[in-house]
Amino acid sequence: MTIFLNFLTIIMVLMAVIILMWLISLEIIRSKKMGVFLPFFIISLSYCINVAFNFYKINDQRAWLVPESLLTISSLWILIILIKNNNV
Amino acid sequence: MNKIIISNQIKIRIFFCFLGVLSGGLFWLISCTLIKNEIIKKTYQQLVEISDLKKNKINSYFSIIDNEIRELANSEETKYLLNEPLVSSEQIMKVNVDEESKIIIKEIENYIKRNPNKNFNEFKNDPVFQKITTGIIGLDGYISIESYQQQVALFNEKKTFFGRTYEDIYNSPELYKLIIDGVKNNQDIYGFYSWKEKNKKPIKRYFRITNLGVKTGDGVGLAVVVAATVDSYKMVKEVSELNLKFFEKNINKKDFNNLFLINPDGYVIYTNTIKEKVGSNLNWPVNQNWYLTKKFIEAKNKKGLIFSDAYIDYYSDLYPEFLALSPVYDQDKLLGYVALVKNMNVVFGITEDKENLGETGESYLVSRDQKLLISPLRNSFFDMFVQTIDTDNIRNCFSGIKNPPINISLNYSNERTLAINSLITGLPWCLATEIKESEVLKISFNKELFASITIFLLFSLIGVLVTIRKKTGLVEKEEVKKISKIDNFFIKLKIRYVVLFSLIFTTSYFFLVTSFFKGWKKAAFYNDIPDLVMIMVLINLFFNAFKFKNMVAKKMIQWGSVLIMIDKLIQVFFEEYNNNFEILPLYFWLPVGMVGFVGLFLVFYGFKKEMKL
Repeated sequence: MTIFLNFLTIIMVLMAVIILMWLISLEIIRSKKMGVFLPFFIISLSYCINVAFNFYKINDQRAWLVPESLLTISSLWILIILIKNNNV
Repeated sequence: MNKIIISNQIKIRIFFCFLGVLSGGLFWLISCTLIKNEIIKKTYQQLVEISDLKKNKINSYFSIIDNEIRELANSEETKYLLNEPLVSSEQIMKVNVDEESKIIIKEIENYIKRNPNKNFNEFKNDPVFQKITTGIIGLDGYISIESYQQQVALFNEKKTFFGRTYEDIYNSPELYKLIIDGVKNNQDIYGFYSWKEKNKKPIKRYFRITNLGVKTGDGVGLAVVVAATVDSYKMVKEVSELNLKFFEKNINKKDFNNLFLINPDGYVIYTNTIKEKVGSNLNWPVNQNWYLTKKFIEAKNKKGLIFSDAYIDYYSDLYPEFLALSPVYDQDKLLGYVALVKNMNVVFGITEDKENLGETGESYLVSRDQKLLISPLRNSFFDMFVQTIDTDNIRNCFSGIKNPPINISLNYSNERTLAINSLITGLPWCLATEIKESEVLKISFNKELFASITIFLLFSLIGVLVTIRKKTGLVEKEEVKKISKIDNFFIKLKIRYVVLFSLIFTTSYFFLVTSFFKGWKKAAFYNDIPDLVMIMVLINLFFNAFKFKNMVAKKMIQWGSVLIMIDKLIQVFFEEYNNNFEILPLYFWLPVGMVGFVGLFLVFYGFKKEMKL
């Protein structure tokens, strides 16, 4: 049961990441602007790394620092874009 | 055909409902699995404790018996008796033969009574009757059936006397006289006589002729003759009263069913109950199938203390018995063996104890040949020693395979049980303790159901709240922004104050969470710091959204940042748990992870709207 649920978790996260990447790609194609969507793309990539770590059962704190930091930096990037957009 | 148009508002609401169903369902699945696992784990642990307790009790009981038999083997009385030289004993031999003949006579009488219409000739040709009446007594004695009216021997083991008259058979004048006198007076005849076969020395024999109390269907009276050689029986010349008292005292005090002293050649020189066996030899063919003989041979080969399997000596016995046999040494010289018999009521008492075993739980003992030895169910469902318990649990027990962390296997009636086994030290027995899985899993999941429904309703409510058209919610078209006092306050709020607030909030949260575990010094910094910084960013994002001109973007980003924040706040807690205790199963992260993803999607759409892309 545990194995099944763990597998289900990985599959669901992967599906969510694929949908997110798909939507981002569509938006990039539609708006022809890549820079503004880059942080979302990096967030998706960090989730992909998460999935890989979970799949290979990597529990090292330092290893997890990489995807977590990517996520944080990307969020900060989004915040900066929005602040700049409002102040201009 | 009209195309059905579903508004974005309905789509979002459906999405949230779906999310609610998914989260509620997952919560239900996970919580039920966890609770089931936990209960099974607890019950199994309890079974292990019960099994260990019973095993220890049985082991202690057998260590007491071990001490008792060693005490007897080392006693002066035992050594003295086993050291005495053996002599032929007419008295012992007579007791022995008389006891044997009593049993045979009873058997023959019963058979004749069961067949009242059979005549003399029919009995003569009846193979069952022949089998009953052709036993061996002692080493070379025999049983025969005779018709004293016709003075003819009918059957005996050697079949040499068939159809011959007494005159032909008994070439001993003293015996012939005894028989004739007995027949005339219609009495039981017994006595000792001298017997000589061709080219052999005369030997002294004992015989007994007993008239049967019943007659054949045609009115022929029968007599049973048993005869045996005196010299074959050996006994200690004299057993002192003191010695006898010592053994009787031991038997009564220690609750032995029987006690045997056997010399190295196999002669039984003492027993307190089976009198007919005293003086006989365990190596005689007649004794070959006796449980004592089997263990005697085993002990001779093993040269140490041995315990027997359980057995039933008499069908009327309530409990089976077992036997312990130990060699007796005087320094290095083997004097003989001491064997004691005990019934298994104490062991039965230990196994039948059903405390903490529920309705279907039970403990039972199984012998190495996978025969059920003892069980609380013995009187209702199973025959002891007949029922074969061929289950994984028992096979693993005798194969020496250790119990897995949790063992759920099929029991003897093919039902799933939580099963544990323990091999009893020094004995060929396995103690199985089992409880049916169906009983263990009789649990009510009402609370979990309630929580799942609440989760579903909560998500649905969020869906409704974020899509309210008037006043606050998401709208299809951009509405004219109405700035309230609160909005105005947040719009004017400077970023540095928001950063300060988020810093205070995250720091406090960090210390709060770590206080539940091993303190902030032992926190999972590598995991916590990015998450806490992310929370700070999200707080800033939330407050910054008040400045947005687009109301839809504002609401989406605010809701999104709140949901991601919930995800991150719970993640910090989980990471601390992982760091301090054990690694949580991956599926624990799924519900919060999904909440985070929903937040991410909302932020993404809000971002798109605000950037007018």
